[in-house]
Amino acid sequence: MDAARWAAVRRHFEILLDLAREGRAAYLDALDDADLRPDLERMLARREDDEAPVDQPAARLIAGAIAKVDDDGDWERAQIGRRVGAFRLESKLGAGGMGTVYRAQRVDGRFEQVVAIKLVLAAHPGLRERFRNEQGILAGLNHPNIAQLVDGGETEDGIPYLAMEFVDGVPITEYCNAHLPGLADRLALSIKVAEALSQAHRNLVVHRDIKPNNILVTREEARPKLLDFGIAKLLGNHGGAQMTLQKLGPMTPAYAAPEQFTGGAISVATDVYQFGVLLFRLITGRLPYDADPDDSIAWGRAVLEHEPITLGRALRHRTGEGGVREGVRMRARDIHRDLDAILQCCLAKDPARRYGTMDALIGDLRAFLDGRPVQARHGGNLYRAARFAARHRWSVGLGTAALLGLVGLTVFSLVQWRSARHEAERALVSAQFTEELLKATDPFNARGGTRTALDLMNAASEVMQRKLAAHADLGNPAAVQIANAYINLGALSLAHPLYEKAIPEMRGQALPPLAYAAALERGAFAAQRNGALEQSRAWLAELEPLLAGESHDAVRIRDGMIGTLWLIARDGGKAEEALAVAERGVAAIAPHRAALPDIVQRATLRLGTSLTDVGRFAEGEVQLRSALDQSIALFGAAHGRSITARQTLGWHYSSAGHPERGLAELEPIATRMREVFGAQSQWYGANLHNRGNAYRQLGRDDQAMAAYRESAEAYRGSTSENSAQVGWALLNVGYILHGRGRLAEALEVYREVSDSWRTSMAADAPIRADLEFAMADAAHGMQDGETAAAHIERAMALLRARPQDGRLLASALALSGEIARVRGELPLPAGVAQDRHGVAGADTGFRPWRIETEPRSR
Amino acid sequence: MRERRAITTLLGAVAEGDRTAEGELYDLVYAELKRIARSTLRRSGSVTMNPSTLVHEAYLKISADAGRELNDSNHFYSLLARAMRQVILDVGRSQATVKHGEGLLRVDLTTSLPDGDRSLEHLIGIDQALQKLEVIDRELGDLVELHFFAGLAFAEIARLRDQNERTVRRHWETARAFLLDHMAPIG
Repeated sequence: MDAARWAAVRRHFEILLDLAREGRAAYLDALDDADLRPDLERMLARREDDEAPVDQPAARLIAGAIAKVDDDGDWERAQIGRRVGAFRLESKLGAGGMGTVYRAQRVDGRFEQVVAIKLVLAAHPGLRERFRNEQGILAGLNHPNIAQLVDGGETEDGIPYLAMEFVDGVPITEYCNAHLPGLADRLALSIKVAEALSQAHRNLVVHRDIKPNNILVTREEARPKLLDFGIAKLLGNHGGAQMTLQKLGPMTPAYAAPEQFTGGAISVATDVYQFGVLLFRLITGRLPYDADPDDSIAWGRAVLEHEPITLGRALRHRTGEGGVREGVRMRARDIHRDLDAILQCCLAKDPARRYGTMDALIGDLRAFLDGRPVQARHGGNLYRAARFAARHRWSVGLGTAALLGLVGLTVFSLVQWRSARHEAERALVSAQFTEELLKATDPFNARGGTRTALDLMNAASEVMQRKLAAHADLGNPAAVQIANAYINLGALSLAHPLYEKAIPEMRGQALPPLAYAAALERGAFAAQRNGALEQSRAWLAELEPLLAGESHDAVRIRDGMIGTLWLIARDGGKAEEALAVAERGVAAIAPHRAALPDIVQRATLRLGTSLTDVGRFAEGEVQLRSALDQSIALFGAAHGRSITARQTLGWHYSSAGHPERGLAELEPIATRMREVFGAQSQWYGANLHNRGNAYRQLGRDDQAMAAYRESAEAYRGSTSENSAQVGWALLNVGYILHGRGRLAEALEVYREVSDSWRTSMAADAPIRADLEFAMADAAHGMQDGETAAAHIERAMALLRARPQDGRLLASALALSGEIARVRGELPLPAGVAQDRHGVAGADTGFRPWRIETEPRSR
Repeated sequence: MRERRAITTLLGAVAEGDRTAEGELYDLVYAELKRIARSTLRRSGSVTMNPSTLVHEAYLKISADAGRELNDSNHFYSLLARAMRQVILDVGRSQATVKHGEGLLRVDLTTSLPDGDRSLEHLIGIDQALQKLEVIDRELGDLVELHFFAGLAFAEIARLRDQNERTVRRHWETARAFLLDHMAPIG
């Protein structure tokens, strides 16, 4: 029947409808075109059919079909035992959005294999073809964290099916709630999932249906496995808003990205979004929006229009269970914000504003776990100095260490020599002379004025040279006195050789035991400050047995020894050890509290410093305030020791995360520091350094850099030859520049630091590794691969010997890998990879990563 | 509270890619279709299929074709009805797939269903007949979609087409006769 003919038929038929039965016959008889008659008659006959199916709405037809079924599960159960491809269905595992999943065994005799088979029902036309196309892609996805697609096809009756690796596990949310209360653990697990996604993306497959039920964690190995990979893509696409389909839609609205609601393009960014929701859920136990995900319209609107809830709020107002129970330490609010930034970057409405790749996201998650700054918050190649410093509080706090050591000296009264044989010596080294010398060189009593410490030094040494020359045979005791004076003035490099010479000579002599002990103690201190650690330890070892007895002098020397040990531990970055030493010092002085209050003050100051170093801030504050009060009571508020005690307190507040309070202590004494010690003094330098730290914490970077630079100058010009300290201050300047992305300037500054440390810092000092790492990072950021490689090599060489800082080593290895990759030097050499394993494994705060040493073969 | 724009304006806006218009349109269509669907299923008793599912699926198909020119409400409802038709057929097939016994999946009118349920066969038959009709008579084909698949009442269709109801009924009679004439006998 063609259109023209039908037009005629219709015309006639409509007329016929209005006629009575008799009239119809007549009309038909009268038709011009007689061969239309059979059609018309047939059609008229059809009018007699009373209950044609077309008389009820189509929807009702189907409704009828549904209503006739007794039991949903009948058919599904009936499938058990049937053969599907090379497998036989054994039991039903569950029913998903698009079909039912069965556990099945391979029965084609080739080998043993258990799989999960999904029968894909509700397969609409066109699906089958796409199904076949995509299968090849999915089969090629090979990753330990992806449930492998084993086979696929159609059953005899045309039901498409997929056979996948059988995963015996529980959904990732369940697993985390049962076994992983901590944030770091959950993030590490998520990273594995992210790596799997990254692999898939490299194979041009987007998952599109990331949700907890699609990520099972195996019971045996706690390995996460992604399921239904690309199935959403396979079974796609009724246009965009598929998640509102309750029956046919495979996707969970809860995890759907905005573009999945609006029908926009699906891409890698879609997976990033969904992963972000998952991450949010794992951390907080809830979804990122306040609407009810089951109400598709309200939920869709929320996803499209509302901003995701911030991490802070989600954690504060926990609803229901789930989410981490430990680990989100709020102490440094920075850290919290970094994680929030990562999440926001995943959940951005505009796909272009999310992480461009899973790799970028993984990078940030690792950075977060490492304590390094995250790209999401800082963007580009930034490197926030404050965060770096959080891991390197030693460099930050060291400004006061030398100071404290020196504090001890001036009050340390020298031992009186009573040897008869050395009257002349005694004359030379009479208490009075000593007093004079001490006074001359005691910076705490000095008035800055016109006489700098250097002037004092020169004056004193003039005196000393004269007397030495006059009594050339007096030798050692005088040398020791002079050396002590040098220490007072901070000229440790001058003091050290004098001890080196004098002490061996004194060993054989019949001296009052404590005299020798005193020399050993001061010598050990000078040696330590000069980097001669072996010698320092040796002298201290020799010293200890000599300190029997509880005379005041012995107690003093002992406290001096403890002070040196404390400095050694602290300089070595061993905060806990230093704390133990400090506690020992407090215990040692306790019986003499009344008689030696100044030593008590010193011990208290050390203890407070150590408590702050290990993060026990409340206790540290108590001790440091007490030390300050003691000092004021003993020496007066204007005395140098009180000022330095206050400086230490300022440093404490800075370290404890209260830079404003720190500045409240540090700024008022700055002027006094300059008055008392001089602008070119290490004490003033320390004040500036600590203020720099506080400014930096407050984000006042420009002020911080100015303070550090001035500090460096102060140290440079001081007699203490603390060029190491110059380096510390400049290092912080470098960090700030680095953090601002001013990489070329940062690198310049780092070089300055390196130069200044050439002679003044031990070759294997821990901070060198940090410096090399920073230089490598800056060079890498400037795309200077060669320089970066050279520095990272040095960093790693240094770090290998430093087992307690596994994290920095692992970061260095990561950076090394980055640098090598950019230079086209992959894969990682096996040795380096093993380092990573070993390192990461040793540090229990670090979850081991999977390291690939060979590229995956396809 | 925003004024709901007229559906034609909305359609125009949607055609230009206005996302908010799309949302509004969604709401509007949702309401309309719910009404339609509910009225068609009301008498069939309790049904596992949720009317709103029908609604959503239909809407989805339409929004998938968003590029098309949508000139007026009439055209829009026609499009909707077309979508409903597709959806119902799909669902019918999938239901048959799931619910029927082993070894059966072919939608083949010559195969008889084991438990005697003919609904799907009827559906397919009507669809196939309709495919013949719409090729030669667009108006009647549309009508069948609107009435049979989308479940619109004659009065509604009359309003839509600006015809009187009697005319619509007559058209329906004609279409019906054609369909029945062109459906293969069953059983």
